[in-house]
Amino acid sequence: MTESIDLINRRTFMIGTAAFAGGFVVACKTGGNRSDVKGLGETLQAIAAIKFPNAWVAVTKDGQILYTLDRVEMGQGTMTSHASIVAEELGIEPNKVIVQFAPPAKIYFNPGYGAQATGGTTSLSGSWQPLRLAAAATREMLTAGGAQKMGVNVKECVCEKGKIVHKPTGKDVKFADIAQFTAENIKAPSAPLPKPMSSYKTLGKSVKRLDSPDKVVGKAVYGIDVKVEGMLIACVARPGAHGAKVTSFDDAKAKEYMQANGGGGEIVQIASGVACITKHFWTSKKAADLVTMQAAGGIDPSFDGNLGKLVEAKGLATAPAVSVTKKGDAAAALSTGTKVEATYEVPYAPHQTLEPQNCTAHYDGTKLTIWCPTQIPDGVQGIGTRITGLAAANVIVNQTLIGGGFGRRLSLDFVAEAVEISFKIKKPVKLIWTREDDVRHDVYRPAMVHVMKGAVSGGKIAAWNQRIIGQSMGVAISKDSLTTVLPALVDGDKINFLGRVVQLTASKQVILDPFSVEGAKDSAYAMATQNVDYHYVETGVPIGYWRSVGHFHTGFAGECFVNELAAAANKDPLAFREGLTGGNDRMVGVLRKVREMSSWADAATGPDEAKRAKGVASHACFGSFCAIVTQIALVSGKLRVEKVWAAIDVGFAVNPDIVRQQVEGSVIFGLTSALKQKITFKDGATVESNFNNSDLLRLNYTPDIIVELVNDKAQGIAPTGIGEVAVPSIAPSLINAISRAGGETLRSLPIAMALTPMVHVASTGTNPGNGTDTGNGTDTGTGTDAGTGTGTGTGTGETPVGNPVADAAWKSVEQNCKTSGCHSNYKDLKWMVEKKKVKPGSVEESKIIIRIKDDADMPQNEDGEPIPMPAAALKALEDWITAGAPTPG
Amino acid sequence: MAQFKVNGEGKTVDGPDDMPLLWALRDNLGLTGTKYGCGTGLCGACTVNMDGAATKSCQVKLKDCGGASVQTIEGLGTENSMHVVQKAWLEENVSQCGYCQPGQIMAAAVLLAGNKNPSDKDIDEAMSSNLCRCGTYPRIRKAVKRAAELMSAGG
Repeated sequence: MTESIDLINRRTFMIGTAAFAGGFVVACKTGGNRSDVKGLGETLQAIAAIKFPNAWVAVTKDGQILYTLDRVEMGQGTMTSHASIVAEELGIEPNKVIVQFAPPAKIYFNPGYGAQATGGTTSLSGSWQPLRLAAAATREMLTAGGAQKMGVNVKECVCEKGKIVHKPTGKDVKFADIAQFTAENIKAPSAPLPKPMSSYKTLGKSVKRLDSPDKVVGKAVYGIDVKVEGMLIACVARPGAHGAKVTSFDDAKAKEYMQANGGGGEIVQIASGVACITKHFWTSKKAADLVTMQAAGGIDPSFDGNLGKLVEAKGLATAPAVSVTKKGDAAAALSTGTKVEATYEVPYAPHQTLEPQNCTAHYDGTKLTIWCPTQIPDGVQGIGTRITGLAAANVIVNQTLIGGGFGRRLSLDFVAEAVEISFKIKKPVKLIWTREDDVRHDVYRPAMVHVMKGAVSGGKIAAWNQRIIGQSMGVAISKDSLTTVLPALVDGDKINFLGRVVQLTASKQVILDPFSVEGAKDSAYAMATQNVDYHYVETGVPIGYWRSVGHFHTGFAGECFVNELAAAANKDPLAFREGLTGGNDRMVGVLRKVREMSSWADAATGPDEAKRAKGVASHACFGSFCAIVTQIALVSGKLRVEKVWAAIDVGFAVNPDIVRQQVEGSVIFGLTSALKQKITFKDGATVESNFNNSDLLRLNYTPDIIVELVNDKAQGIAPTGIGEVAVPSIAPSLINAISRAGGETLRSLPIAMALTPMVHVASTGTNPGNGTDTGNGTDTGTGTDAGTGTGTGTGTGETPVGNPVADAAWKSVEQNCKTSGCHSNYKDLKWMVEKKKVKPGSVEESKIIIRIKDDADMPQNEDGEPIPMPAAALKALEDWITAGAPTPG
Repeated sequence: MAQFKVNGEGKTVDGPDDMPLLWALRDNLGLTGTKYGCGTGLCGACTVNMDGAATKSCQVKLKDCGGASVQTIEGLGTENSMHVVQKAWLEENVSQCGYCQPGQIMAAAVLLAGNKNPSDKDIDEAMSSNLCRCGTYPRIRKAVKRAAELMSAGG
């Protein structure tokens, strides 16, 4: 059941070039039941015969190409795009590449995060260069091996179709015939040369997804499908209120039920609630439903999720804030030209991945094996080590396919539960969350409020004042990371990682992190003056990454406001944008393209006499550019979204059809949010529970979506990414269209209008415009949550001050840092110390913030080597970060 | 306990009367192609063909399965011998995460079994109770039409 491949001990496996993360090869372990990984099967049997791999590409003795995918596959197409890059360099078909998921290992870290995370639309952009180098090195070695074996000049040989071919004579040898010979005789090239893009045969073409065949026949194995011998299934009853802890529970009825239905099973209390464990999901779920509990603590029970109300009640629009961008005197410039004021709001929103959260864990006393759909396998390993006390080497993580990620699987609350249960009962356990668990205990997209004050003069933006208010992603992520990624790291990595966490958390008083303001700091538009600041407010609601993260709300508010400014200036909103983005050719490019695609100048037409209009929005994020035009119809007061045109620039498109897939999906994801999603709270608990009261956009409401790519064949522009790029623009373009059709100018989501389904002209020709929003079914909420107890949360809306635990912890950090000598993050910590001494909102503080924000890479000391930090300082730092933000309850 | 046919084979499943067919398929019979998405019949990830009807298997109690004939995604076609709907799904590159697709495909197969040339409205009616979080709906619509074409061409 368990295979372990230790590549590090095989001399011939050493590639040893600087191209590969510092010139070392890391042990590549695969473990556990491999039935969860696509395409491995028997190949793993042959893996002992692997010949000369690097950490990504390996050639087996029989000449097969094995690719270790260091990012996850959650629908975004990494498996196909990465395998295609390998295939291109080796001159083979992509479907000949056998893909396996990477185990947690430092070499597979995402360079942008210092962790093995899949997120931020980095899977292609971050791997483009290293992966081409890894595959090119493999090709060059095989070619040299083949030439040597044939006794011909390597310069006359090519690598194609699984063979090395000597062009002048037509002689060839198969990979299988030279694999071993090459491993034994050919040194790795010191500077492998990827193929020129002009020679590409596979990249740039729409190769069909490699994961599709298994997915359409039901063979694809997701986390929820994992089977382990002797496995039990667990469901957990939790307190409803966020942050509440169980004080007492009654499991008598659950036990009675379990006894009457198959007998056996166990009930154990874990940190988050009470787990019922039987052989089958159904009996575990029914038992969990029967557990009653009392709980204490939790978020402020009076907070209903309406952040706008809170902002108003607390006067947060004018409270002290951290400066994000300051250009000129934007406040004074409000008196020039026509003034526009608007407050925008996005609510808390759920992820609702269609595969509910789940994790399988088996702790056997000496080893922990985990199978799970995660976006961050080293975080899973970290949780395993933290809960069991095992060393990372004894925590084996098996990545599975993921039934939708969208950022949800970067938070690992469900992994902690599964590990804790297995640790307690020492048996293999699969934890499955019900849909109700998933909706009620999500880490939500944070609610955010943007207070905007601007002015237009002479068709230009004279003033732009933007106050961003909401919870901090930095705080949420920092705290989460301490219990996930940190435990799996060692020595220098731990210090570097903590440094990053410190950067994100800043201080307890003023918190600014890139995820809360991204997309607002650097506007795509020319502005005479610009003032953006951020006020941190803590509600205690669990929040997390949600597809497009900060760009969702900054894109929403910013683009809605641009449209309102354009209207105030009596300008066409698309022409207004084009006039203000002159210096940005790629943004101009997508705007021009979408103008042409949507026949922007022409009146919107449709199958009936309804009022119609087109609206526009654009947003640059994750290195890519997107402009969207949306056409809507107002049918007897109801809203129909009819058409969406999206122009996208991701640079060179490795697989254009996967790019289109992602854009179509992002548009629908964004529409779901714009039209449907809002999470609310009662007594500290989430009100919504399932698709009855938190529905997704359905097929009959889905507009026609037309996607065109700009620069997709441009060989000079390395591919950026597409997974999240089109999400932010759809809601503001929709609101613009409603406004231009004569509807209200809306400023908050979800759009409070009744919907009417899409009409497909070709097949119906009639107007069923009286349809209502159906497909919601009935409210059948099955509720597993019980006994929310009393909420005694730490206030809402107050910027936390005077937390004595945090203060004491910080003093300790400061002291330890000062006495520990020069370690890698000393400078960052010093910034933090300095920051404590400056006035919130002051220019000095902004400078410090900017230094922290702009430092994209991990700081290092003069030798580039971290010097270990004393254990006491590490502990103090952890304590400070933990205490630095208010903990609910 | 109930006896019924699954993909042409007689099966006996022992479990609580109220256990949904979905979990009988997944936990008792090991047929994990049928997915759990909501347990309330609102997402369609668990759709199977039960006696000729597209059925949300999470809403059918085990005690009501006696004598039924159930077809799951595993019984529709295999990698080497795909049903036209599965072929069309590959042609249109429908799947992203793929989790909802067995349910979508079963719903489409039932639709096409009774309607060789479905209109957009027919597709809306048959397919709108199946959710897809990745947003593959435009391709699902195209793939259903493509499958109809493949069927009429004898595919």
